Amino acid sequence: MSTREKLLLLVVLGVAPVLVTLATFAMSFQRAEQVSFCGDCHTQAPWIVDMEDPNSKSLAALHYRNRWILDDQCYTCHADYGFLGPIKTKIRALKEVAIYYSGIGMPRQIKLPKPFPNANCLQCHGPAANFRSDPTHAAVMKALVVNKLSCVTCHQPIHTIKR
Amino acid sequence: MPTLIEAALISTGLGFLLAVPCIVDTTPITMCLFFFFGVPLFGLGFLLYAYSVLRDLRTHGIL
Repeated sequence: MSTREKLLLLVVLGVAPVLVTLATFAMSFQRAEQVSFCGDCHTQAPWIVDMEDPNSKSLAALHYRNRWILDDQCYTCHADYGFLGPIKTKIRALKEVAIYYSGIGMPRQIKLPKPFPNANCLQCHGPAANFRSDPTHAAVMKALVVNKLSCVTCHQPIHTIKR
Repeated sequence: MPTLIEAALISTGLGFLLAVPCIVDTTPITMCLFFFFGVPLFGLGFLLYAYSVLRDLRTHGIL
């Protein structure tokens, strides 16, 4: 085998797969933030139907209808924040996709894997002047920050699902 | 061409084939195919290649 062939093998079997994997990781994880991606699994349909319903009074629908969140509305609320938050979210989501297609460990009913963290709401609302100046929020701010009191205790309904 | 290299090329080729649908149109199914089958096939291809290279170096008394 000539040196040129050996170099070609190194590129095809060593370098190119790494580059393709990195590019596909970056591209697909970014696309996976879109609402259409979440809607690809039909089990998510009721949540998206509610969000896009112009008559729905749910928080998801209000955020969507009023353009409070411009794009990637599912991801913006459901992704964890912080240093490793987005990575953890994407790994968890990939597991859920695998469960959906394999059927192994499929729950009977869709529910959040953990209580909804206030940080996901405070990421946007926390610095807002009207949120901070509200006396009700000011009174419970410490409890909100440490997740002792959930935002969704007062702010309901998040989604209005028609099964 | 040695059989190990052929196997590595087939494995890597299948990995590339599985990456194409994910790059063209990312859906849960194309993503699953690439992440759970494509990436391991890339890994297998590289391991076979690395083993082949090591074996070749030993044969020539370099290692």
